[in-house]
Order: sequence, then C-alpha cells, then structure tokens
Amino acid sequence: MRVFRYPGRTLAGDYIRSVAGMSLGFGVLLSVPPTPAIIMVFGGVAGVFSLFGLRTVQRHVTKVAVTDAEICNVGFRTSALCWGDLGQIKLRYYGTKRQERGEGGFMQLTLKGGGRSMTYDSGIEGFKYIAWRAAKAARDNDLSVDPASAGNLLALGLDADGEAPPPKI
Amino acid sequence: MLAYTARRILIMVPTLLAISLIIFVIIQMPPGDYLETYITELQSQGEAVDPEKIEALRRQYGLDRPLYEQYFLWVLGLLQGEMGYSFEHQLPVNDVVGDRLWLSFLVAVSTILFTYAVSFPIGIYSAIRQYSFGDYAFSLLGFLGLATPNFLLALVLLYLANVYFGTSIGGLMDEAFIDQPWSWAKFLSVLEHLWVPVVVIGTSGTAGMIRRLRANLLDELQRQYVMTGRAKGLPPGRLLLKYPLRMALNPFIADIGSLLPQVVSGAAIVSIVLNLPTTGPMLIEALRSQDMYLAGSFLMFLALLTVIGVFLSDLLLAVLDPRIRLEGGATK
Repeated sequence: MRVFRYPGRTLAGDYIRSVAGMSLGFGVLLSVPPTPAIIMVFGGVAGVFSLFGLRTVQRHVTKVAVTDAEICNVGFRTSALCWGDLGQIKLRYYGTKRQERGEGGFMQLTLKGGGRSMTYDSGIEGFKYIAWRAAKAARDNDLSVDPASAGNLLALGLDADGEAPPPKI
Repeated sequence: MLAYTARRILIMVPTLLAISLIIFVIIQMPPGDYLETYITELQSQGEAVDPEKIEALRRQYGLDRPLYEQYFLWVLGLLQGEMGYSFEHQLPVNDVVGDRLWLSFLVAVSTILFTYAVSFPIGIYSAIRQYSFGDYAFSLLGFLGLATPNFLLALVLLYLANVYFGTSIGGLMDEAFIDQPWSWAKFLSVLEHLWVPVVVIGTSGTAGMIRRLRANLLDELQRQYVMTGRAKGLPPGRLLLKYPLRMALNPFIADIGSLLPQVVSGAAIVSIVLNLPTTGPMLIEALRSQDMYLAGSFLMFLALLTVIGVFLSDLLLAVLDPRIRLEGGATK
C-alpha cells in the first residue's frame, strides 16, 4: 500500500488565493452599501473563494491510500473506489499564462465508478503513480479513454493503450 | 475547475486595477482639465469669466485635489456603483448614462449571438462542402460583408427603409418610450428595433468568423486522426462533431474576449448614424470635452467587458480542450 497527501507547500498558494479572494469578496460586501449588483458580483466572489478555501482545507487533511484493490481517501470522511468498479477516467490539464514560460498549469485526475467520484490535482505526492494505476485499471476494465485524457497521459509518460512499468516515486 | 476558476478570478482583480490606473492617467494626459476647456469656450463666445467662480467650481468638482486622491475616490466610487460626476451635464454619471450601458450591453450580446448563430452553420457547411456552389456563394457574401463598412450598410438600410417602406429604422425604441421607465411594451419596442443594429454591426464580424471557422475546420479535416476515424467506420456526422469541429472551435471561442469590446467600441459610428441610445456617441463627446469621469466610466465599462470576455473564453477553452500543450513547455 502506498499513502500520499498534498504537501503543505503546494497548498500554500491555494490558501493565499482563498484568503485573498474572500478578503476581496467579503471586504467589499461589508464596506460599501449593498445593492443587488454588488451582492451578486462580490457575494459570488466570496462564495467561490469560500468553497475553494474549504476544499483546500479538506485536501490538507486528506490522505490517499493506493492498493492493488482500491484507492481510498481518508480525511473529513472516508471513501474508497475499487479498481474493478472504475467506470470512467478523465485527466484534464488547466493551463495558465505562465505555461508559456515553462511553468504553471496543473492537471486534474477524475475517477468515477460505483456511484463515487474522486478528484486529484497534480499537486499531490505520487500523482503520476495514481494516474498510472488508474490507467492500468482502465485497461483492465476495458474502458475507452477520451482523446484529451489519452494525450495528457502520454504527456505524463503513460500510454493508455499499453503496459508501462510503475513510475518511480 | 474550481481551482482554475479561482485563479482566473484573482488575475482579473489586478488587471482591472491596472486598467483603471492607465485609464485615469490617459484621461488626465491632455493639457488642462474640463474647466479650462469650459473657460476657453466662454472666452471664445466673448463672455466674461469670473476667476472666483472658476475656483469655486474647481473645489466643488474636486479638481484641486492631488491626482492620486482623485483616482482613489473614483475607484472607490466605481466599487460602489457610483461612476463620478459629469462636468458637462452637471449630473452624476449614473444619471447621465441612464440605460445606455445596459442597452449597449444588450446590443453587444445580441450581435455576438447573431454572429455565432449565422457563422457557425455556414462555416461548417463551407468547410465540408469545399469548392461547391454553396461554398462559393457564402464566400462571396462573406467577402462583401468584410469589405462593407458598417456605417455604410446602416446608411443603405436607412435609405431603403425610407424609400421603400416610408419608415425610419433609427433608434432602439419608439419615441414614446424614450426616457420612460421600463415596461413590457418598452421592452417589446426595443426587441422590435434591435434587429437592425444587430445585423448592421454583426455583418463584418459574421463574415470574418465564417472565414476563420472554415479555414480551421479544413485544417483539421485533413489530419490523420480524421482519416483513421473514417477508416474505422465512424459515422461522418459523429466524427465531425466529436473531433475536428471541437478542435476547430478553439480560436472561435478564444475570440469572445476581443469580440465584446470590439462590438461596443466599433459600433460608435453606427450608433451615431442609426441614432442609437448607446455608449458610443456619448463616449466620443465626453472625450472631446474632457469630461473625465464620464469618459473614464465608459472606458472602464469597455475594459470590464474585455476582462469578462477573456475570462469566459478561458473557462470555455478549459472545458472544450483540456489537453496539455507540450509546445507550451508546461512542467506538470
């Protein structure tokens, strides 16, 4: 069994972002007379960043255990997905302007099956290993991987259609 | 997606602040201020100018304060939905602008929807039936649309409507509704008049969009994965919609960011010709008379449209094509 978690240094940026966003949203809401437009725009901003902050805290306390049989999240609540139940795998890439300078951008792996959905960002330790294990399960379950996910797996050095040795962690 | 959305929203904030600073500096750049223009105007008409009155006006409008103080007051006002004071109209900008911002937004959004609704099917048809009669006909129409200035089309339509139908198609509503509060009848009147400016302003954009979509789709249709899909027996419609069209849409969606401000600012001359109660004519007048808060608020409105447009197109692109760009040099 391998256990991974989001290191504090990768979450620091998300904490700063959520605090900055909440300060902006709640700051304007509390300091100016509320009008419907102000409430809608800055209330929306405050809401998005509050959700983002909660998700960051959740990631901070979550541990991900990967075994040959399943992948399991242990945090505020525990959930597990058996590799045999995996029904869909999606690997998305979200770029930023800085990617043009060779930095920035992140990947997001979504696994669905057995009525559960689990999402991991590339900031987690062992992301490549989780992606490799998920790709292997998708092959074993004879799932079709969409072209975007297959391309992103290739960018990680993993072939969705072929056997590959587990990546070094 | 939540993390991506949060990142993009946070980028919007410093962008808008920087734009507001640049706009403020630019509208302050011409020598003098509104009052000096006003004094020159009075002197040219041979009227006496009372220096004490001018000084009192300068204090009243806050023009005697340091520039940074004027800037912060303006930005704080914008955050509260107050856009400052129009010197020329002697009214708060909110009252001067009235419905113009919303009507401009309505015309802009309707024009974009029209552009997409017309160019999307024609672009696809022209690409998959390349060099057919229909392709040539649409291409000819496209080139005509690109080559015809919007204001000229507006003048032609005004002339035709007057000569053949004996009616004026100017304005965005019947005269009875001008300066009246909003009602269902006024809304219907706006909808009734909306199609003319939408067609006039949207024609050149539609023509350009058809050409771009056709070119992108033709590029994609010649790629090997399309041939592989055909060889594997995928139905042509499904193959087209699921793969090459999706790829060809990238520049189409990336255009949203530039389209919104282009439609609003590019419509200024058309608005003058068609007598539309939108922001364009008032912006030109405000810039000419150095009515700084009125001009600044319009320019901030355009900037906000640009930033929102880019934000929307980035989100749509992330949904549409979430692949890593290896040539971009991403690290993860």
